[in-house]
Amino acid sequence: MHAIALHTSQFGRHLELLAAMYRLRRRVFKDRLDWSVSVSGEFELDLYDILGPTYLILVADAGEPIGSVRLLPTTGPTMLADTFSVLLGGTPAPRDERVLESSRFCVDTRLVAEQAANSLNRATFILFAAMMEAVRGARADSIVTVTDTRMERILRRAGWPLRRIAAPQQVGSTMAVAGFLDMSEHTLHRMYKQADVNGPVLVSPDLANAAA
Amino acid sequence: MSPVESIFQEFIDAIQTATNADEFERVAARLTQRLGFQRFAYLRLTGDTPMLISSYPKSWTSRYFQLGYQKLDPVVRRARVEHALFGWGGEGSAPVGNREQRRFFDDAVTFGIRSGITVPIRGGFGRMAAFTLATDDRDVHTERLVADWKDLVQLAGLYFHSHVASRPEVPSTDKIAGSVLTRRERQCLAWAAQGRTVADIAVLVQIADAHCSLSP
Repeated sequence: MHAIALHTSQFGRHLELLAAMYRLRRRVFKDRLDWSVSVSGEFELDLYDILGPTYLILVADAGEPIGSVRLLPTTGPTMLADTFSVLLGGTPAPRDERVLESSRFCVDTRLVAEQAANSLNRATFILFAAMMEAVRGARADSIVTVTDTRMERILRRAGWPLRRIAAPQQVGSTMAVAGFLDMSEHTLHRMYKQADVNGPVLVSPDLANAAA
Repeated sequence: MSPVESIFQEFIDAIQTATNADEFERVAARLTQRLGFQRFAYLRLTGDTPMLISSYPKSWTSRYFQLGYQKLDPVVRRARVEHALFGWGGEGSAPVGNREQRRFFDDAVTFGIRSGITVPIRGGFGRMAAFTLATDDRDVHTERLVADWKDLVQLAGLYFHSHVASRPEVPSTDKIAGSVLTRRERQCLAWAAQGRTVADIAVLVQIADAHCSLSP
C-alpha cells in the first residue's frame, strides 16, 4: 500500500487514476454519506477541484485506489474561508503559503475491510503520513481542515491531534470543526511506525507506473 | 502521451484560462474537433432561464429557444432523469418519442445535428446541466462512441460545468452582445469570484485599484 501525488498538470497522463479517484469519491460522499455534491455518472467533482489541487491517492498493492484526499493552497479560495467560514468563530481564515487545506479525505471501508482486520487503521495511517510528506514537499508546515468530531477522535488516536480554531458547530447532520494539523518529523516517524512502514509512502504517479 | 491523454491535458490546461463565454466556447470546440465530433453544446437549466454555451449554428440555437425546444428536446429530458453518459441518434437507432419530438429531431438534422453523446450533470438543489458532443456523420455508432470516450467525455463535461459555474458572471453565448459590463469589468469579476483581493486583481489586470473596486 502506498500513496500517489497527482497534480493538475499530470491529469492527462493518469486519466484512469483520476477517474478512479472521482469514482471512489462518489461512492463515499454521495452514495454513502449523501452529501449535496455535484455528480455525473459515477463521478463526484466540486468547484474546489478546478483550482489546481493536488490529490493524494492511496492505492492497494493490486493498484486500485482505496482512499484519497485533496490539497489546496490557502492563498486562493478554500473551503474554510469560502464555504465553512462559520467554523472560524470570527477569526480570519489562514492565507499562507506555509499552510495547505485538506478536504474530501476518505478511505473506502468496504474495499479495505475485505483485507486484513487492522488494514483500515493502516490505510488511514498511511494516508496521514502521505499528507505530512506532501506538506513537507510543499515547504509548508501545517494543514488546515474542516472535519467532524468523529474524524477528530481518529486523528487524536493516531497521534496527530487537531488544533481547533473554534468550537465545533452543527452543520447539517454532523458536528463540524475546523483546525490545524501541524507537521513535525517526530509526528511523521511515529505515524510510519504505526502504519508499519519504514519510510516515505508518497510517490509521483510516473514512478508508480514504472514500478508496476 | 497517447493522443487521448494529450487531448484531455490540453483541455484541462486551456479551460483554466477561459474567463468568458467566447473563450469557454473555443476550448470546448477544440476538444470536440479533436475527439472527431463537429459541434458541442453545454446547456444549464436553473429555474426558468436556460443558459447555453455552444458551437451549434446560431440560427439553430435561436430557433431552439424561440420554439421552447428545451422543454421538448428528448436529449434534455433524458439528461434530467439519467445519470450516465448516453448516446442518441446515429446508425440503427430507432426513432424516439412522439410525433412532435421526431419532428424536432428532423429539424435538428437540417442544422447538421444528427447524433451525439450527452453527459448529464446534477448540480444539487435540483439544478441540472447537459454537455453534448454532436456530429452530422450518418454512419456513427453512438454505442461505440459511448464505450470509447466514456471517462474522458464525462470528466470533461464535469470540468466544463464547474469552470462555468465558478464564474457566475459568464453570460450565455447568445447574450454576450447585450452585456453591460466592459471586458475589463468582467475580468475583475472573474478574479473576484476566485477570491482575489482588489489589490491582487489590480495587479493581475495591471490597472489602478480604483478601476477594480467591486461592491460585495
